[in-house]
Amino acid sequence: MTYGAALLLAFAAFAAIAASMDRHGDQFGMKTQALSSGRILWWRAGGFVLLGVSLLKCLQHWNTSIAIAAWLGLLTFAAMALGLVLTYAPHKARQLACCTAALGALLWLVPPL
Amino acid sequence: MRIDGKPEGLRQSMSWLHTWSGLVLGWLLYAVFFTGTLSFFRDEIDDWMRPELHRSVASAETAQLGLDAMQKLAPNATTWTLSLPNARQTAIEASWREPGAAAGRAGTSRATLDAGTGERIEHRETRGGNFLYRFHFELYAMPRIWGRWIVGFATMLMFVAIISGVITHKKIFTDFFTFRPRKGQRSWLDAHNATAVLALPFHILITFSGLLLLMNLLMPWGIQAAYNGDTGAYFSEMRGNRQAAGGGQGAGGRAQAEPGQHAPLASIAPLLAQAQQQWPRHGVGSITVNAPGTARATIELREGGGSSLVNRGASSTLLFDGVSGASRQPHEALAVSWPRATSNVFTSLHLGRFAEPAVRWLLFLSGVVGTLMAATGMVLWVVKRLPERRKLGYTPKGHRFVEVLNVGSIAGLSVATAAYFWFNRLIPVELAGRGDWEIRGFFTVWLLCLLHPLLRAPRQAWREQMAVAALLFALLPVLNPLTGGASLAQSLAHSQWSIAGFDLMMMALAVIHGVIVWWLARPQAAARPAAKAGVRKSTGEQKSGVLATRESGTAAGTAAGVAGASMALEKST
Amino acid sequence: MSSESTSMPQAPSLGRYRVQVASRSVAAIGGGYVLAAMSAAAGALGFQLMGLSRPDATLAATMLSFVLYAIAAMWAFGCASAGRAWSGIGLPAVVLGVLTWWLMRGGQA
Repeated sequence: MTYGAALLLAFAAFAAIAASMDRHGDQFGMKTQALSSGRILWWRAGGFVLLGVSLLKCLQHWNTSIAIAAWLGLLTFAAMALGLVLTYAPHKARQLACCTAALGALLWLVPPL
Repeated sequence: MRIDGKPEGLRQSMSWLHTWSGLVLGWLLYAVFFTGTLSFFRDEIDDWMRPELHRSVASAETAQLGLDAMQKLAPNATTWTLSLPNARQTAIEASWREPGAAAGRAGTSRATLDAGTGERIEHRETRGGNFLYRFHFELYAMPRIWGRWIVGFATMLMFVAIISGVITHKKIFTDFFTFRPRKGQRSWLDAHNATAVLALPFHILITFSGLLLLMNLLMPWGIQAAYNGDTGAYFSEMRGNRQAAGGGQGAGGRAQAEPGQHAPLASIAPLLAQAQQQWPRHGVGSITVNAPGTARATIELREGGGSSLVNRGASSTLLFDGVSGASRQPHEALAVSWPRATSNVFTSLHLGRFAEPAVRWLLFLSGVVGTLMAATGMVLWVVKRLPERRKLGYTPKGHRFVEVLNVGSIAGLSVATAAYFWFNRLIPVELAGRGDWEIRGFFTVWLLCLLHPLLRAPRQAWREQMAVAALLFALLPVLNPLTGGASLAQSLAHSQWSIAGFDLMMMALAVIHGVIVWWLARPQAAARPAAKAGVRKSTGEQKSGVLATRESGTAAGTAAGVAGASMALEKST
Repeated sequence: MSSESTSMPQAPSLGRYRVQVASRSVAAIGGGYVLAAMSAAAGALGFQLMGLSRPDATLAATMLSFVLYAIAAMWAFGCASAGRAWSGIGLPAVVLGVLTWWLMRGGQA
């Protein structure tokens, strides 16, 4: 469960960060050029907060050293998954990010096995 | 250097350095990554390659059976250590020291015991996973020191390349999630960047810790200065503290059994139950009995895994009186100093020194990504030079050389590794020095794979070798029960995860290689003109962007194929 | 990474350019190693003065020396000229070498 929650939350976090980027904003249905820098900052900050939440979940489950190592490993695969989604199913990225955020939050509440 | 001979700026000289050192070291780093990644499952490979062990199925009585067996096997030993079966090991690995035995490893006797009966198992001679593990940092057929220096040097260059890459390529972060498929060179560059950048923490970890693991060889000057070159003194001071810090390598392991009153050993079951309660997550990993059979006997139970990397994943222990079974106070763990904590965290991750299987899988998958990074980089070198080739109207010898070596070192290593596992089962058990023959077989197959692309068009060579690798991997789980091993159904039914895990991993490898074959065989892969590759000025040497059309597209087809396959691999894992 | 990074005002000849790259490579690989070795030696002695135990000081210095090696190698390719690459690596190496010599002498006295 820890893995699932941390991975899903990291995916959602990266999606939020990608949404604030020039190259990917359009894929999330946001015209980044039209967005105010404040809005962009909000998305980016939200993404980093979500990353922090995902780290927190790992820290709850493991000893600090293993937790950070595992979290960094999970980030790699969350980012890769997002890259693939943005490549092959960009129109689904937005819904998918919302789903993973919700599911991640749900799994967060499940006690570790 | 640029094709047109124009001088470049300094950033480019760095990218030039990356290209050429990457080419020279790429093949080496690929092999290191490939065998190193497999080494995360060294124990599993060891179990699979000794099919005599496959009948060993653990039960609740395993620990007692093991101790009873030791009573017969080594009644006079000063100490017994039983490593109990777990998710990565299906039999009991026993070791003991006879009175007056030489110090260290030389004086340690070993045996493998059946976890279901306690009988000693005689197994075939094989280097098992240890061969792949050793190869990944000291190569083969040369003095160990040379191999370590070569790998260490490559590691150092990779470490520099990673850090300088992050600093100079600021675009890395704007292209973070970007992959542009079916665009020839651009796709390869994206795949190479993605595997490098997204797994950056892993790459930094694995190269830096790799250096730390070799540091006494590569950088002995600190020891030279502080200890006047007395390496032994350094190690003993180091060990003295580590033993205290990590709970020790078997507290009281040095005790000598004096001939004294004989006393029977306490029953192990209640002690195990007590430990199980204390360590619900990892359970008991090993049992050490000091001075067995005497009144002074002690029984030490060690947890099946640690929970922190700071002390090298050291596990906690419980100490009992060996006769009465009463609990005793174990040695207290000392705090670990920060230099040692840092070194421990890095190296124990590299070595996978902890029980958590999920973290091991993460490391393994990251290793796969690193392997793909090396492979994509090498193919990129060829793909990048296709326009030049087309302009010239022929293939320069150097390009052809790289192309051939790429096939042989990337696809060929897969074939050779699969063949290594096949040889393990096909070489007669009685043959003297059969372990060496397995290795000779591995290198012979690899050599053939390096020669084969000389005779074939590159695209065909890729496809044929990948197909052979896929077939060899796919049939290993079939070969296993036919040659004395436990079938997948049996190993799964008996929870022998090491054996089942190996078979499943071979199936996964077969699928990955099969997908690559499929991609290479797709007519579109070759026919689709890669169009404008969209190579912008910032990506380096390339000026024009029309790449990889049908006629020159052999390698580009491969390019698209493996890129797609690598993405598919990420998807499937 | 070509567009903005051309830091050379005039394009040198191809031959000179190659010599430069070779010189920088030697500075990075050879010079960097000497610098790292000196830092490991100096640190193994120096950190003891800062309160670390002997094995800890040695370990810390050796670990840091790899980081220093990487920095030196990057400097060799990142700085403005090959000459500066050499001096930027050589000078600290000499300083650390002298420091090591002084610390070792101090230890014996």
